[in-house]
Amino acid sequence: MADNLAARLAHRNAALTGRRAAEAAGVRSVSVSVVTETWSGPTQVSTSTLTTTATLVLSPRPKVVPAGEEPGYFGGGNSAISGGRLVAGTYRIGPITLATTGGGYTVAQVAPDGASNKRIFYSLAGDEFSGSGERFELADVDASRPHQVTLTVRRTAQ
Amino acid sequence: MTSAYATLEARLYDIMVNGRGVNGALGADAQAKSIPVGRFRAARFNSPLRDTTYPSVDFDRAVFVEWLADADDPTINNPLDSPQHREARVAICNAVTYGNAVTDFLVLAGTESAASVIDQPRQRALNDSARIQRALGNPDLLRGGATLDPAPLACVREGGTTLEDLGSGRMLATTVYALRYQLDNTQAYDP
Repeated sequence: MADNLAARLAHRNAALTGRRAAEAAGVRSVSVSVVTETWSGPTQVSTSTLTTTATLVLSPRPKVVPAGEEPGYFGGGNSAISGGRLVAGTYRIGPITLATTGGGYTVAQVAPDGASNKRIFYSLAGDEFSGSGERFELADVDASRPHQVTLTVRRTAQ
Repeated sequence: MTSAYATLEARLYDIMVNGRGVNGALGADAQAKSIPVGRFRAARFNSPLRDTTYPSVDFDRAVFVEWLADADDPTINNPLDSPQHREARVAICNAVTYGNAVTDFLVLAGTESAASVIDQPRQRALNDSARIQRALGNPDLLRGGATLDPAPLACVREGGTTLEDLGSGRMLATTVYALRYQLDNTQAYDP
C-alpha cells in the first residue's frame, strides 16, 4: 500500500477551513509571528550588525495555550504583576496546519533553521502578553501528526 | 563619575571582546597578546551563562564577568591616603557549545572546523581561558593608554580554571582573578 498524499492534503485543507472559521469567530486572540533576524556576523559579536528582519505572521491564528513555567532570571517574567517572582512562561502554539494546496506552513517555515548569525524568535501578541508582543524561543517541535505541527516556546530575553 | 565596577568591567570587556590593543597602539607585547574582535562575545543582556534559558545561538564563546568579592588591598592601606588600593575577586566565565545538534551555532576561529570541535569542548574551553588569561594579565592591555579612574593595576589568576558541564551541549570554564585597582579618595564613585 502506497502513501496517499492526496488524501492527506485534502484533510489538511479541511482542517485549515476549520481553523480559519475559529479565527473568523474571534476566538483566537493571540497573534503569532516567526521573526528571523540575520546579522552581519555571529550574534553578540561587538562588530556584528543587524542586516535583515523577516517576519512571518501565522494565518490563520493558531491556538496558544500555557504549558507551564519555570524559574528563569534571564527569560524572566513580568515581575511587576507576578509579585516579584521571575518565571519563564512556556506556551504551546498550535495545531498549525501543515502545508497544503490551500495554505498552511511547512515545518521549515514555522521552525526555521538557526545559524550563528541568525536570531530566531516568536513574537506573541494579545491580551495574555504585554505591550506590542513578547519574545519567545523554540523549545520543541512536534510534527508527528499528519495534518499539523505544534510548537512549544519558552519566554526569553525581551 | 560612575560606579567603580562599571569602569573596570568595561575595561575587561574591551580586552576580551572589543579588540583592545589589536591595532598596536599599546605596544608590540600588548598587540601579541590582544584578542581580535569576534573571538569572544559578551554575554547577552549581561546574563549569567548558567541560566538554562540563555539562548543557544549566543552561547558559544560568550564571556561573562562575574564579580565575586572586594576587599582592601592586603598591604598597608590608610583610609586617609589617596589613592586607595583595593583588590576585587572577579570570575571570568567563558562558554563553549558542543554536540552535533548545535554545530550551526558555533563561532569558529582560525583553522577550527565544526566537525572536530564539537567533540572537544573541554580542550576548547580551557584553551579559550588561557587566551583570556594571557590578555588580562598583560599590563599594557589592562592599564595602557588613557588613564582610567579607578585605575586597574593588575589582573592575576587565582587558582586554576575549572570546567563545568551544564548539559544540553553547554560547557563553561570559570577562572577567578584577583583584580588590583586604585581609587581616588576624593571621589564617591556614585553610579
